[in-house]
Amino acid sequence: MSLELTPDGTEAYRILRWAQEDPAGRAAEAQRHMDDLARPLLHRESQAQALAEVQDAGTMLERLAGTV
Amino acid sequence: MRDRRGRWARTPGDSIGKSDEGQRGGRKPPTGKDVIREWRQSRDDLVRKHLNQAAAHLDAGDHDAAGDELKQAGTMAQLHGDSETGDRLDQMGRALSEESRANAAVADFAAKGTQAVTGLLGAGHNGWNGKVDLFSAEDKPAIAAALNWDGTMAFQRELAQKMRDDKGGRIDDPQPYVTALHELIHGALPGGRESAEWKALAPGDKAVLSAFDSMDKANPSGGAYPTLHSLADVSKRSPQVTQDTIDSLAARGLLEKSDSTSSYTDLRTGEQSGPYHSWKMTGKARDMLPSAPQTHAMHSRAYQDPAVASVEEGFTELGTVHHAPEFFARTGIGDRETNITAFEGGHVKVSPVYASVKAAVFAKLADQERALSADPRGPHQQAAQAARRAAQALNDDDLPGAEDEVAKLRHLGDPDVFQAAQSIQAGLDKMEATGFAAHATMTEYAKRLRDPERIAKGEAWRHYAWQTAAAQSWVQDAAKAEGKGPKSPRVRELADEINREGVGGKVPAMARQVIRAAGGNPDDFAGRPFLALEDRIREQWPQGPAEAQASPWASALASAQDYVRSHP
Repeated sequence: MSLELTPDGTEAYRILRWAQEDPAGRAAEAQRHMDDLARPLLHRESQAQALAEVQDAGTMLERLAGTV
Repeated sequence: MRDRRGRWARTPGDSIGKSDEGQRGGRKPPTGKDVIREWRQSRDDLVRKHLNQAAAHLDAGDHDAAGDELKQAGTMAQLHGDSETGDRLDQMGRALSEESRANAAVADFAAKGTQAVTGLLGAGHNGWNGKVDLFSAEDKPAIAAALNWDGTMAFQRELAQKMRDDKGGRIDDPQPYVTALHELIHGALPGGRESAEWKALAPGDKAVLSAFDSMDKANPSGGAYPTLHSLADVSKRSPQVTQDTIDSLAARGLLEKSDSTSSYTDLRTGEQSGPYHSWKMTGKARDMLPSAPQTHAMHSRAYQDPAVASVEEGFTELGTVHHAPEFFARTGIGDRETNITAFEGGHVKVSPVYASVKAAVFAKLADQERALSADPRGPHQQAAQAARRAAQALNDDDLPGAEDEVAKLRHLGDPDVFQAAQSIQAGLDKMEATGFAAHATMTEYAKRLRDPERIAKGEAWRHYAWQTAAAQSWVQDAAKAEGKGPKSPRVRELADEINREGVGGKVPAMARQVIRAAGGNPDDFAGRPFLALEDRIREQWPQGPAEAQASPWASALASAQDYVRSHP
């Protein structure tokens, strides 16, 4: 593992940044995109790092959604 | 079975809807439909009763009791012949009980962990409200856990089930326990604690200072600045106050007497009173006051700032990495084995069980070699050489090689040697089952992960890698400014100082660290200069992996030094 993100992790942070620009208007839609990104990674050992990164961004999004 | 009069008694099932009274009273005998209706009513009443009780338990948050009621409702339905409903209710009840046990497993561990986290960070209290809310990975695949703003800990069911099914012994997946630690560090908040100095005060002293504090909070600054109060003012809130108490507090530097006095005129009577002396609380006294506990919700708005969110996650994970070894020890799982190889002095640590069995097997092989060598017969001499080669293979930890040689002993045809070879083979089997390498305990493994170089490379607990590296870079710079190295314990203390604050308090805590390093007093930075410093930290905080090592410390420090120089 390094600081560099996997392609899925990069996409997850892109979704998060998009939601951060307008939390009230975008958080819910961003969560749907984030779930779609994470679901195929579940239970796949080879995708553990990608899932960890997506869940990091997903958790930040979840908490962001709770602020609006 | 016959009754006392010799008539055939009815079976229990027959009695439903067939009362003697009904027949003697001349009522129409019940039809088969009536019997079925009453039977169904009776069944439905019993099932409904348990369902209502289950609902009441669910409302009260007692999922375990609700599960029991559902299972009983299922049993009732089954007894009355409705096996489909019965099975469904029974399954629901069992699922609820399982859910309840998983929920309780997380809640129990987190309750132990809360105390540990508060102590390890030196925080005031924790914003976790004691509740755990489980969700399935299928429903929320993009999160593993989160501390919601109302203080409830949302936790993935699959992780919770690992905690529930933990019966002691080896921990194959430390993730549920590390995740709980991360969430509890999110919950760390200042305030709600009494300082040692405050605890040492006499009750009368506390009452007077609390009265001053209460009156200050009612002043136009909302308590930001202390104001003067007379003995008469104080006595309205603390009737037991005496001049001696006031003088004693003043003598200890907790109250400051004003140079002037005040007089009052009663507007109705025109009567004058005074002159009165007044006092106000000193900074020393205000620092001693126990602060009110904050709630986690108070900090939610701050999280909308992307930099604040990154700071929050980075420092929280850094605290997780820093404190995991002691956290595991304090929650009783530190000595538990993981499935991760242990190292000692840069080498793989040999399992103590493996080493002791190896020594015993080695001794047996040496005995066999000695005994066989003393026998001049050819096959025994060859077997002695096999025993020697087996010992050599064992010495090299070549277990298959040793087994091949031991097989030759078994096939010698000598009953005594056969018995010895069987015993040696059993030892080799045990060594194979145990494995050569010792397994790191939870605490040992966590200590390995908190190596600063691993943290900088994102090789700790696999989460929030770049945010954690950025947080570490900040506190390493802060430690360096104090003349401490990047691996010194001071780095952890500086991270704790930030993690003791809630989401909204972390950047201000970082600003105070910078001002301190610039040789200034954070209290002198009140207002605009302090906010400008916070803005600078937020604006320059890394927003991705490429910037993780570019701490805004130097820039913030230069800004603080400029201010300190221009405001001596």
